[in-house]
Amino acid sequence: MNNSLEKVQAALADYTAEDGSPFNVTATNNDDISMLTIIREDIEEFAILATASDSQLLFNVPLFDKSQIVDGQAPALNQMMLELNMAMPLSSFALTGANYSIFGAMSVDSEASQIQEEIVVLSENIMDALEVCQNYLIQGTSD
Amino acid sequence: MGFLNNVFKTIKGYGNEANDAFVDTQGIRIMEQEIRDADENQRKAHESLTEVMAEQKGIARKVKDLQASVDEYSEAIGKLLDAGNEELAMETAEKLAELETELESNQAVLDSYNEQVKELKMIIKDSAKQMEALKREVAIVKSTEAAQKASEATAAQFSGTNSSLRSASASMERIKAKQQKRKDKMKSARELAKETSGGELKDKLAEAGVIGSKSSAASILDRYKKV
Repeated sequence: MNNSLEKVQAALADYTAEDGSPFNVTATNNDDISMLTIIREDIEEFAILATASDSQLLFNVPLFDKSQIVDGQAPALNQMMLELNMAMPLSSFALTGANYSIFGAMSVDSEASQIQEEIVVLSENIMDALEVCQNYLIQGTSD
Repeated sequence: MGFLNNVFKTIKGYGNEANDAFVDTQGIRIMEQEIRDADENQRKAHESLTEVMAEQKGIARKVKDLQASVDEYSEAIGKLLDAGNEELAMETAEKLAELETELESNQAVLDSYNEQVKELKMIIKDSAKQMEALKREVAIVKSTEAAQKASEATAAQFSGTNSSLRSASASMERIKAKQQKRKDKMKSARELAKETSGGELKDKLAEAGVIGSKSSAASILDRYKKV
């Protein structure tokens, strides 16, 4: 596996969030992709996907896709995300293709403690981000 | 053109027009090819930078030598004039004029090399940024896809259906409910602790499902037998 991802995996081994929730890390390595799936136990529905390029570690949490936005509400949602980007600690909103997410990026030279902080803060941002987006989303009852 | 502009064009160029989603495999393959081509171009650009820098170094050395000669001759002219040797001073001045012209033209060449090196470095840096950006984009798309496939497989395992997209708002409600349940459990544990004490508390906690059932000699023995 990519050295940078190994570093992330090592940083999260035996590491728990403040509330005691552990992070379960699964590595995927094949010709196509090297990634880690990081799941915080109490919010397992939203996984943190870690990938690494030459210079950056990228932690991305897919939240929902365009099909889940109430008709006509996308521009308002986009604007709200831009306006809240700076308020959200260490993470930002992003749109990749049809997928909305929050993500954090950091140098591959980051220390283990910085990686832990990034992941904890990102995981804490997930529910807050979803909550603020909820008014723009189609309300689902079940899968 | 700035690298972000190029990245945006590339992403839009390979996007799936229908749903504005950059997820189709074909688009990714083309983009990966583009990244490989850019890698190759980057390698070539590095090579030409190395060549230009070698030439730049050569000219810089020449300029330095010429400058040293110009200084030397200038100083000599002063000394010759002080000594009243006007004839030799004139001869030296003629030589100095030649040297100064040569210095000037070489300096101009050096300036253009310096400019070229700066430009090449900028180009290389920009294209490296562009490549990294595209690589990240591809990684995000692929990792998102991989995660979606995995969660679909899990969903299918439990519900027997290959259910369509997970609803974010439903998931959020589920998580909230789960978190609330956990909070309630902790709260009732605290309340029980206030009301009762000792063995009675343990029984009640076990009853409420907050802790495991009472430890007994038999269960301890069982534990050892399993090891």
